[in-house]
Amino acid sequence: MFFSGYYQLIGQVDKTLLEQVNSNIETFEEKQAYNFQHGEWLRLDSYHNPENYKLKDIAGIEIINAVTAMFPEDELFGWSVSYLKGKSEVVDHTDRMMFHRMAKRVIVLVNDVPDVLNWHWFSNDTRVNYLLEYGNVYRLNTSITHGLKNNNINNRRAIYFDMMPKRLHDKFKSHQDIVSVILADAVGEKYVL
Amino acid sequence: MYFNNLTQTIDTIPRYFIDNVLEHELYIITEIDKRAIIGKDNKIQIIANMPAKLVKHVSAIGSYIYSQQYALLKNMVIYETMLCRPPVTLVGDSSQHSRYLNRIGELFLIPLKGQVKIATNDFNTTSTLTPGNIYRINNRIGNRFFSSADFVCAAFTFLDFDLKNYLMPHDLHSPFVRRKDEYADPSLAPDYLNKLSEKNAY
Repeated sequence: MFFSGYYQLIGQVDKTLLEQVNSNIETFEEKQAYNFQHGEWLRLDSYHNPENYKLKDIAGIEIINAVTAMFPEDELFGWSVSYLKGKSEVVDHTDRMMFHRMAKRVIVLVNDVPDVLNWHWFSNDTRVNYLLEYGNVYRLNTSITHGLKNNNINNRRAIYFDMMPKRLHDKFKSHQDIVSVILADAVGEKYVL
Repeated sequence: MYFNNLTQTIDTIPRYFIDNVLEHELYIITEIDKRAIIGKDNKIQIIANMPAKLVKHVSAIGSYIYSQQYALLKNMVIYETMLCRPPVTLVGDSSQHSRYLNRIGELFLIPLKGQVKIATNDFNTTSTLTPGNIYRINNRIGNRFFSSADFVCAAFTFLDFDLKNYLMPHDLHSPFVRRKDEYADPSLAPDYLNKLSEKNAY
């Protein structure tokens, strides 16, 4: 969903909880269930989830409750668990599934990996860099081209929560294009992410 | 928006709404629609390019539609108002699919003069649109318009009022260019795209 700005601080979650979530995800990773890979970036998305993994089983219900409580007017539409290897990056992209245009994408960093540089493109020539802090909950503007690089040697885990206003959720949850990537006339070095 | 047919007849419209517009037909000056809202090479006159006397009567059609409180238009607001004079054959197959507005909004056509036959490969049917009726068009699927030489219609697109806030104009009008990264190249992410149904990965 578009909003005015690149990211927005929504609130904070307890770091003890995040440590537990990180531990839960580490355990889950033994299943090797990540179902999306681009370079060194791995993700498990609820949108392509044939094994029907549940986020509450992966990360624990407490983190879900903590984040959804910050959006009382929204429904949790979907989620992603993200694993960005140390010294790797996510290329410039705009999130392209149809629901991205209607849902708030909320990110929670699950482990404390400093030196992960995030950026949005303000224009073709102007990149705006920023850092996201461990312990905070952020909303990202995924309608604008963005990318990131993990400059640390450690791998970074995060959870994306896609929250949709309840009325829009009811209206569009069954739309047959809702989790489709909409593309046209693709040119250049660009990616579907 | 997608629905399980090519077109849907929503209602009739009193004849005087149509006559009022046609009284000023002289002022209907259409030009190629670069956004291909309905199809490639369509000719339209957007409301911003209409003289006041035409605006008044075209807007009245929109107001009439609102006033009927159709359930499918609940929470929807008019996003675009235009008059259309499609070429005799109009192809609506390409860019319109990638226009978010076509996926999430509604397109209504109100023929004013002549008639148009619409065909598609998605359904084994054709529709003929004639003056006096309000039609909903399935603008998510590919189609062909076959218009009589004198065909002219009013067209309205509708969008959920919340999405008017949440969507950037270039999203609504995709596939037009956004800064830096507008359209991903499917060839660079084949594994991911292969998980999607072919029909939706234009």
